[in-house]
Amino acid sequence: MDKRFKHTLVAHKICPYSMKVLTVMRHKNVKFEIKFIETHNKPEWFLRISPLGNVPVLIIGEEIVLSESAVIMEYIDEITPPKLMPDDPLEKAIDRAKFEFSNEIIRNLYTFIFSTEQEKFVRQKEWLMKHFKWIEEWLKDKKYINGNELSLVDLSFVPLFVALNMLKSTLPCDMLKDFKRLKIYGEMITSLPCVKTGRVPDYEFLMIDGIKSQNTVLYRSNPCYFNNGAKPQGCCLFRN
Amino acid sequence: MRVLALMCYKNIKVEIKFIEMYSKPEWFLKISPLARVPILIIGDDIVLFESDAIMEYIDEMTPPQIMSSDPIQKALDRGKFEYASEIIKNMSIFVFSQEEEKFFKHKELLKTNLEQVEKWLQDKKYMNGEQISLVDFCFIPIFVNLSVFKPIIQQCELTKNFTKFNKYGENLLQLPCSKAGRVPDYELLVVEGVRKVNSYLYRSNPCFFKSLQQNSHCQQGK
Repeated sequence: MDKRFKHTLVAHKICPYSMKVLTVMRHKNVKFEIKFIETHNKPEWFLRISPLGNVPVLIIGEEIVLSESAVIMEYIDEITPPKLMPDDPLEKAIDRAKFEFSNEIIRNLYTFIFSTEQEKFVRQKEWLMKHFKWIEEWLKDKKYINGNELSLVDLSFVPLFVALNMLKSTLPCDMLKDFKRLKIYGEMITSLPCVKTGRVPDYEFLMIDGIKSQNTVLYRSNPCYFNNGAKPQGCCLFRN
Repeated sequence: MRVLALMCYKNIKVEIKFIEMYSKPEWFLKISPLARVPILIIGDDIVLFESDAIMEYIDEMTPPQIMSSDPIQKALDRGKFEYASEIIKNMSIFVFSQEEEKFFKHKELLKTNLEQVEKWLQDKKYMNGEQISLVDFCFIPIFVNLSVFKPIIQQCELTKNFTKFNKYGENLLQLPCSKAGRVPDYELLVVEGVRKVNSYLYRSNPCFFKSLQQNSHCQQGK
């Protein structure tokens, strides 16, 4: 890596897109500084440099600002060989499309988790189930999406499985119970060292705090757990 | 449109299938993971989705590449692909929204967006200099749409004082692939869409839309 440029990652603690980049940086052992910001109260200096006001953003040196998680991930991958991204143009294109798919499924999962309306909650759940099928199909009988070796596209799905794990361990609800390959893949992905170090230690705490404070459907269907820590007996997510 | 314009630029032989977004066919939903267009079918089996992924693929398969090979420049350009998509989303709401509040909110957002593009543009022909690069294709649809509603845009002063932006638009719209990269009845279809939803833009500019209707009748009469 070109050591002339200092890398500063601007992120938000429970932002899944920030998590993707953090995971890649840990996997590749990149030296960088990290600045966390609050997304409901973005600092002036951040709004000045981030065209869309989104995290994550990677500042290179003093002035160069990269935005979009997939863009930053590919950049980091390219400057830290060996690359995790394939060389073949078609495979690369397919993977890039899957980055966008992963963004979309993660966005929908977070909308599901933080839903405050029952109807939206149910709709989101249905959307997710429908779209898990695609990943299941892509995996086939392979260890990783592209075969036996980890590639960049696997890391783009990390926040999905980290969040699903959080749901599973905090509420006994396994959204992947009908997706055999996804379960195995998810367990494997979340046990990678870079995935453990690729998120803040208080991720689960912050997520649960958010679920509770926003009076979400998840919270309302299990207030005892959230208030006293008593785990629900049955699966809560699929009660109407 | 960005993909089509690029394919025209690169002279690629391609078959096109148009579909209705309000009534997506079953065969399409089976192969497009996010049910979005465009998708590129290669041979019988391979399906590429996401316009930016398709564009980079086409560029790589048809040297000389117009995307930079420098990792930082590539990353900066890719960031702009996304920004251009955001502008298009805002424009779509500006044009099709039925609510006055939403219309004005997105008009302001667009102003901010265009201001940003003005800042990025150097005094050169295209975004990255005198030569066209892949990122320019992402901006073509923006200028095509602005030109459909040119009198309205001028009246609400959306692009006023953005001299570099306006010049850039002229440069892009002059490209042959800009014209070839869309269906001939594009303007008609957009205007028809606006009329159908009775958007705020439509309701607040009756003269403009009436004159368009008269013009199209005249053309049909010829």
